[in-house]
Formats: sequence, C-alpha cells, structure tokens
Amino acid sequence: MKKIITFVLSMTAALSLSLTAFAAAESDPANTFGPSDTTGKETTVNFNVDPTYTVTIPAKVTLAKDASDGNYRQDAVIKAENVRLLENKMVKVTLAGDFKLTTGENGTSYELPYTVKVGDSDTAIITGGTVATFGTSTTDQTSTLHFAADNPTYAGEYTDTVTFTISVE
Amino acid sequence: MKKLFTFIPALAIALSLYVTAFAAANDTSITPGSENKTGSTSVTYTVQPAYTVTIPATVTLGNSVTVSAEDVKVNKGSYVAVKLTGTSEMNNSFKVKTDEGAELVYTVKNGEENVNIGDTVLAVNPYDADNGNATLSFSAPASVTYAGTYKGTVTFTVSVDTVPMPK
Repeated sequence: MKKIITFVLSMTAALSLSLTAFAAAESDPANTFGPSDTTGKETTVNFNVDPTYTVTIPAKVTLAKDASDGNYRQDAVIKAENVRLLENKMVKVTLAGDFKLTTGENGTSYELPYTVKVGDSDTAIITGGTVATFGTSTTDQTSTLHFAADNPTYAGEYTDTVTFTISVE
Repeated sequence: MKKLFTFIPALAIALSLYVTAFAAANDTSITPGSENKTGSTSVTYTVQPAYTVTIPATVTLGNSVTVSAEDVKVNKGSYVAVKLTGTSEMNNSFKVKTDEGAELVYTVKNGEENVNIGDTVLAVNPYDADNGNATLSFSAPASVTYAGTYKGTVTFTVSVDTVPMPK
C-alpha cells in the first residue's frame, strides 16, 4: 500500500511537471489572460501553401512525311500537372528558336525553315512567343504545338533545337 | 525449380517496365524548385534519297531512245548519274551477233558525242532540277554482209555521285 501511494504521488508530480512545461510552451504575454484582461485577444492563424506545378517539355520532335502533300509534320504536347498558384497567376511557357532545320555541313549545308503553330491558331509562333498558359487546376492541362516544314529539295538528316522557358506571371 | 521459372518472367517484366519509364524520363520536367526554368527540344526529320530512272527495254539499230530521271532527291552536293557501263560482248565492244555468228559493229551517241564504256549519259542534280533526260542514238553500220537477227545488250548503271558533275 505504501509503495502504491509512493508511486501515485511520483506519477502526479511527473505529470504536473509535464503539464507545466506544456503550459509554458503555450504561454506568451501576448495571449495570456489575467484577472485584469476584460477584452479578447487575438491568435493569428497561419497556413502556408507553396505554389506547385510540373511542366513537361518533350525531348524530341521528329517530323514525318505527310502522304497527302509531301510536306513534313508532327505535333508535340506541353503538359502541366498539379498546377496550384496564387490567385490570378498563370504559368507561362514561351518558345525561342530560329525555326530553321539544317542538313549537311560546310559547302553542302542547307537550311529549311519550318513553322510552329499552337492549337487552332493559323499564325506561326515567332521566337519568344507564348505557346502555353496554365492556371490553377486539379486536372492535367496540355497545349498542342504543330511543327511543319515543306518538302525539301535535298535528302538528308535535318535538325534544329528550340528552347522552352517557364515563368509564373 | 518452379519458383525459378516464376522469378525469371517476373524479372523480365520488371526490366521492360523500367526501360519504358527510363525512356519517358528523357523529357524535361520543370517545377517551382527547378534551378533552370528552361527545357530544350530537338526537332528532326529524315528525308530519304529518292529518284526514278527509266531506261529503254529494247532499241533497234538506227533509232534513238530516251533515258530519263524523275523526282530526284539526293543530298546537297550529290547528283544522280546514269552511265553506260558494259555490253554483252567480249571486251564490252559495241557489237550485235546472229546465232550463226555474223557480227555488226554499232555506235552510241549522246547528242553529237560518241558514248564510250563508262561514260555518264545523264546527270541530274536537284540543285538545278529534280528531273532530266538524254537521247541516245544507236547507229547501224552503213553496209551489212549477212542477213539474220542480230542481238546484243548494253548495260546502264545508276549511282549517286558527288559534284563536280561531268562536263
């Protein structure tokens, strides 16, 4: 019995110390009340949500011959997932390049211009132009780009590189 | 043993899935935490060489035939060359023979120029045009000793050569 009483007293002391410590962590002169406090005090509620998005840029676009007219075409898709931004903000994707495919080298090099159009637009993108804008959404979003080049005079391997830039505006 | 056979197919499936996932990872993914907010895309296409060269199936001495090339598309700095590279006779001589052994010598001309074995009879460079043709005249000798059906063949060879083109 004596041991039980001793144990209970020890536990009580330990608990009171922990409660005191807990209370000490919560107490702050700004939000503690005393008998003299007759008005309410404020507790600031915070919740920080960081912006998120994942924009995927395709590594390669390979044009293929269109049997109907002999020209070369291919579509590429820019994809945005998990877009969550500040209200009224958008993720903007721009495209930069000279839009010229090149084959051969030195004296046998040959350039062939090509165009990039977005979605249903009939206007070709110029360097620095916007190819996609994505707002906050829980669903995946895409923008389809149409690459096209005329049937060239010469055979060969034609290549070019374009650069996409992401910004939030 | 049974477990080994089960493990191997499973491993093969797992590896194939891994390869697929790795191929998709070549695309650039940009997030707010990405240090570089740009991604590059390689734009490519391959145009295969193409041409259609037509040579006559037969020619009768004393007549002309047309050798043509159409829809010529080869690398810049190259051209399609059609050459007369051989005949059916010994030493590639321009002769026709009867079954009885009688021979006739003939000549081939491209315009005013005699054609010799190995000569280019037609050259088409897409820099100038994607098609062309040449008229070859096969001349019979002025006099013939023996009657008979004289026969022989000439061989044309097509190649893609690099400039400069033959004159």
